[in-house]
Amino acid sequence: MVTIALTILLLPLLAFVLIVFVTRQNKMLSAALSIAATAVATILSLLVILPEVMAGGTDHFEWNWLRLWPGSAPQGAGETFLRLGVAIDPLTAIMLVVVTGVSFLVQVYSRSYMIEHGLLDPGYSRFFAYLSLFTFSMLAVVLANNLLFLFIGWELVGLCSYLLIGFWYDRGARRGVHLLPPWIAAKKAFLTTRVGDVGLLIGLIILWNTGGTLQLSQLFEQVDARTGPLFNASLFGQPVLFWACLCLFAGAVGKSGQFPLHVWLPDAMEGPTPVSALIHAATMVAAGVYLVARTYPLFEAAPTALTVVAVIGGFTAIFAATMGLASDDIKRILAYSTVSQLGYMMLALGAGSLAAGMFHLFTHAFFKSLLFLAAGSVIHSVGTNDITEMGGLRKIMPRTYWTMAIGGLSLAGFPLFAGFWSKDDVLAAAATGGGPILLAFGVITVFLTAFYTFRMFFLTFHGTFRGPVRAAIDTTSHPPELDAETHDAPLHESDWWMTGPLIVLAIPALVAGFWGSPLFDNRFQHFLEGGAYRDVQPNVVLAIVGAVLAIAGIGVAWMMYGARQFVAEPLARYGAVYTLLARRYYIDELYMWLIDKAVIGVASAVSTFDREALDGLVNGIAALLADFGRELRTAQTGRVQNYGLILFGGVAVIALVLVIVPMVRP
Amino acid sequence: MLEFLIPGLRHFLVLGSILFALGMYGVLSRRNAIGILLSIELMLNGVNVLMVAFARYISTQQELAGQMFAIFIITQAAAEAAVGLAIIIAVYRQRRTIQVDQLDLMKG
Amino acid sequence: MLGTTDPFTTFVGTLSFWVGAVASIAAAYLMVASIKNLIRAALALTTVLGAVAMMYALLGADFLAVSQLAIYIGAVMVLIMFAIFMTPGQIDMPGLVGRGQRLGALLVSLAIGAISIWVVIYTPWKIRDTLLDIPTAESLGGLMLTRYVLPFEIASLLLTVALIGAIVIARED
Repeated sequence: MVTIALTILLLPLLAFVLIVFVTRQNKMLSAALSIAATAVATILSLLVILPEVMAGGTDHFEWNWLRLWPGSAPQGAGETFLRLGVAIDPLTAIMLVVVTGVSFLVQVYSRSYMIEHGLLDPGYSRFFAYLSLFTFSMLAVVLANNLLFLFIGWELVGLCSYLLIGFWYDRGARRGVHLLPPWIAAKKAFLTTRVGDVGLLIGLIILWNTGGTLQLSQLFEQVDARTGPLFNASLFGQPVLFWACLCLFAGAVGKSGQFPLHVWLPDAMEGPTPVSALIHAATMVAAGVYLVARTYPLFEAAPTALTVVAVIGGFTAIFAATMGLASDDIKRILAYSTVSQLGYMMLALGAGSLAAGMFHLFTHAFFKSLLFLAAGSVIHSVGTNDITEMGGLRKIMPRTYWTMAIGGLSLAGFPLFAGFWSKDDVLAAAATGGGPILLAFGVITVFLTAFYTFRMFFLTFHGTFRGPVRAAIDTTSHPPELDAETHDAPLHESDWWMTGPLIVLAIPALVAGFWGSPLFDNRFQHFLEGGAYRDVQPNVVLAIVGAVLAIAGIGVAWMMYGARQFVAEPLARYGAVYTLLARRYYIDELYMWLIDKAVIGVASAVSTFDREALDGLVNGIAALLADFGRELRTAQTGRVQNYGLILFGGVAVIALVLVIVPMVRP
Repeated sequence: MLEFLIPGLRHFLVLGSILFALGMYGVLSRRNAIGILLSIELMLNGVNVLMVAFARYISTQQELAGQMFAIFIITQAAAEAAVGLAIIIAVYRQRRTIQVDQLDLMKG
Repeated sequence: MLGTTDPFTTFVGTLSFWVGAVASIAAAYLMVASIKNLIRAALALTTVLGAVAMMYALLGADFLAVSQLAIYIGAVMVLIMFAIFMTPGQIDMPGLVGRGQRLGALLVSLAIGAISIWVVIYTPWKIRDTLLDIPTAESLGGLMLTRYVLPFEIASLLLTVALIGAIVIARED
């Protein structure tokens, strides 16, 4: 099984290398190469790995990478090598399916999305190369059985995110206020996640220093005994392990966009929509959740760390949901939704249920990427992200409409859809392990989620079209003919390359929840946790509350947005509060101010020091030497007599010495 | 007192040394190139006196070595004077001066 | 000549020595330190050369004395005179050399002079028992072609080269 896993891992990398070095000029070939590689990886994951793991098989493989200088490994070290390795267990198998499957569908979708008005995007090959590289990196994170390898993949994933967000690197900001050009959004994303990554690295260092190994299996062994160097009390009375977990979680906070490092996700929407679907909905942002899940035994052994996880997750869930209420950008609403749902996953993990968190990650991957791709289909047709300029697309884009409806219902937690089952599990976990406040957050967020999701949905598809006047043709033919004057395409349904993946994704968005629902004996949870999963009585009360709130949210949204024509934003009447939400609680401004004062202040101080003191020192020495040389040069008068004087003077001295020495010392 | 007056080895040696020292002073302090040449000739003569004095009073093996020395020094001095003066004349044609403190092209 | 017991010879020798010594030192001093006119300086040098010739004679180097007169005074001084004539208008003002230089020159020459004199006077020279008083021309000639033939040949080469070199350098193009 290891060879299959390595094949899955390396196929996308191979595609990347081939595209970069061989097929760059041929755009369609590059796309085909990338899609094919991912397709094979998906098939292998789904049809080979998954069945084998479900039958109980696991496997692992390590490879010694770098030999450390003898004695440089910490005391009690289990290894004098830095190693890389892969492991295959139920968690890995599930993630493999998610990553390869969504990546495949997104790439198929991109084949048409990256075509604007009939012209291929100039960076078409580059796009697929980056997508393949990203797939490889994410697979590395997922397959790693060793925190070092995971970290390598983690960093690569961050890099790919930067490259893909800033894909249209020469574009400026879109029309509107407070919008960033893609390249700044990419920088923002990278730097913000970097803050988290530093924490992650510190966590790795702590584990390496105290535990002596980065091999997950060995760490778990150490932690099982509940004693050892990792449990020595450290700062503030908390054991070393707590700090290590906290630092690891910092990395997760960055990558998964939890508060306070959530600021990059909304702006990351400047990237192409397939990127948002793949990276910022289904996979990369899930890496943070995956990290906690992977190292879960460590967290379980440091319960305070789990509490931190739950608190941050719960708070982020409701925090992001409030911001989603006040946004008019279709992708941004989904971005806030992603942050919020990730908060749910963290809440579940922190409350003690690995299965609930991963279950929600699993379903979320499908319905969120579906929602993003559908949003992209709308954007591709209409030409704007602004839902206030949409409307009435229901009849024009039927496939997009229905698939997005399924995704939206799943997200909202409408009964029987996938999201309902996983969200219910999360709430149940919060009830037992999270405490009343976090549970309240979770429950309120259900309502908010349903509301803002369907606000977006109704404004986009219902009512009449509010955008600039264009010919609206109810057609699914492709390519549409451009308007002679405005060069706008008439509103049209997207072609099968784009709507096909939507339909494919709608299926798991609908039914994937059954795999883990109590109706079918919680098969998913059992598969994931093995014997550790305790069969609990399903919390029927919570399930009903959740369902009611979801339906209520949809209902309210219908009344405010679906049933009437949209003229002005009804919520805007809550003036100050609405502005607070719309401006994202001014956190971006706060961070910019902090950076300006702290970072730039320190940087300019250091720069001045470098310029004045250090350069001054170096230049001063040079000037000193130059002056010294200049002084010395005056001895070279060019006059022979001066030289002669020195010459004979030397002779006189020698003569003197020759005479005096025998006298003194006979 | 009388013995002091009668010239012996030491008298000649002292004379030679004085001439040599005077010549050295001239070499180092005259400005005119020909003046320097004259001083050089003076130094050489001082040395010659020393040589011949040694030859007469001291050498027991090669008895006329000092005088041979002196002959060759005279020869060399003549050749040197010839070439030196030729150079001085050439320099004078170029620069219209043979004051050595104005011939400082190698300055710096 | 010196070293005889004949009182008259000794008297003549002593007198000649002292006259010559004083003359040469005085002339030398004037030449280096105070004569500004080059021709007069050259003439002072000539005086010194003559006195030195007399010293050679007193030391029994008869051939050398005559060669000194012939070569030095007869040839070299004439050469120098010619050169002085060919570079007219150059008066030498010893005082115009930098003061530091003059002081240094004074010190250095005084030092070397003092050391030499001191060494000369205080070294216990082993003077030979018998002093030679023979005509030296024949001996010198013989030596020159046997023992000192190499320096002899080199000297002649030197003179040839100097001759050609001087002509080349001083040529008017």
